[in-house]
Amino acid sequence: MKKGKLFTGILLFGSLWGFAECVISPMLGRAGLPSGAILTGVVAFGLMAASRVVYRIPGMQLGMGLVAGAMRLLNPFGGCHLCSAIAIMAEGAVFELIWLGVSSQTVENMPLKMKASLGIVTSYGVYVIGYLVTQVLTPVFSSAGFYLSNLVVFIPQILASGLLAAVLGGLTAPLAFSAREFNVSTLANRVYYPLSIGVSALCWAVVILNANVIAGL
Amino acid sequence: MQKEPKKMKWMPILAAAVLLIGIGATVYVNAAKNDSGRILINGEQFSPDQLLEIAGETTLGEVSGAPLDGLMVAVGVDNPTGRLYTLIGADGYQKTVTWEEMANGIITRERASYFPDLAKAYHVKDIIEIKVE
Repeated sequence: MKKGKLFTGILLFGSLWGFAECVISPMLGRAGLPSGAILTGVVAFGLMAASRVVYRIPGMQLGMGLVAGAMRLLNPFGGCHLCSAIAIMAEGAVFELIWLGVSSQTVENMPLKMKASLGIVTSYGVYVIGYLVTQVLTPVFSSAGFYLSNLVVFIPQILASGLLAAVLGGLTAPLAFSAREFNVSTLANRVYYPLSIGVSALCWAVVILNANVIAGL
Repeated sequence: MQKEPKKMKWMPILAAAVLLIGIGATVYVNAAKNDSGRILINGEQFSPDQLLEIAGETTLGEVSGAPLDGLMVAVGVDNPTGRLYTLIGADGYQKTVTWEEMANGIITRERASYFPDLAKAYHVKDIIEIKVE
């Protein structure tokens, strides 16, 4: 696959993920729903798994996390933007680690039970480790001190809140893995690039506009 | 019939373990939950209204509440400037801050902390205790 297609794919899927974190997540939160677990189990895992089986290139999901995290950092509304940005970037890295031994062909040959299991393990790992990483790094980046005792006593809560992400990941997996039928290499450049860049630009524009509207600028 | 890749055979077992950990942690967290609606500071229980009476009300940005530094002095913490303060929420979430950070923080009537200079991760909700260390 051409590098240009890959980088545009990173931008597209990362922007979609970031858009969901900045615009949809606060809506879910306001509705009293556990937005973090829903976003990780459905959107983050779904987009990372789908892009992995479509593009079949390890490392792409790390890039997506960086793009989505950067977008979240630009949008200081709907909860802790610094913690969320760190968590999103960590989620991309954790996905890469968990999927080190998983090839696209492996996923293709899996029965439904295995796909759902991989979804459960990946979503839970991504959510819990992302949460732990942000608890360590947020105090460091916000120039307040990190105290291990603060993290240790909260670990049961983190492990508990990941349950929903795990279940949603298990349900999302078969759908996300079905994206492998789509062959991005066969898509004409004149359609792929304008569509990907256009959708990405739209996501960024809505997020920036949304931030400015909320700020009353 | 689809083939099960050999090296992935352990995946359903791992998924079951993950679900069990999540369920176990959920049971533990709910059993350990303890929120009386009051706040324990320096060995004494206070209602949110009492905190505002003791330390007065101040506004930081658009958020109003009792100043945390004034509150610690008012409740009789010895040598308050040289201590660490851990704000503990009903769900177990906690954050430790220094006196300098307490000096620019408040606790609201809804028992939430607010520090304009720190990340929102320091906005602890449903505070049940401020531990002085």
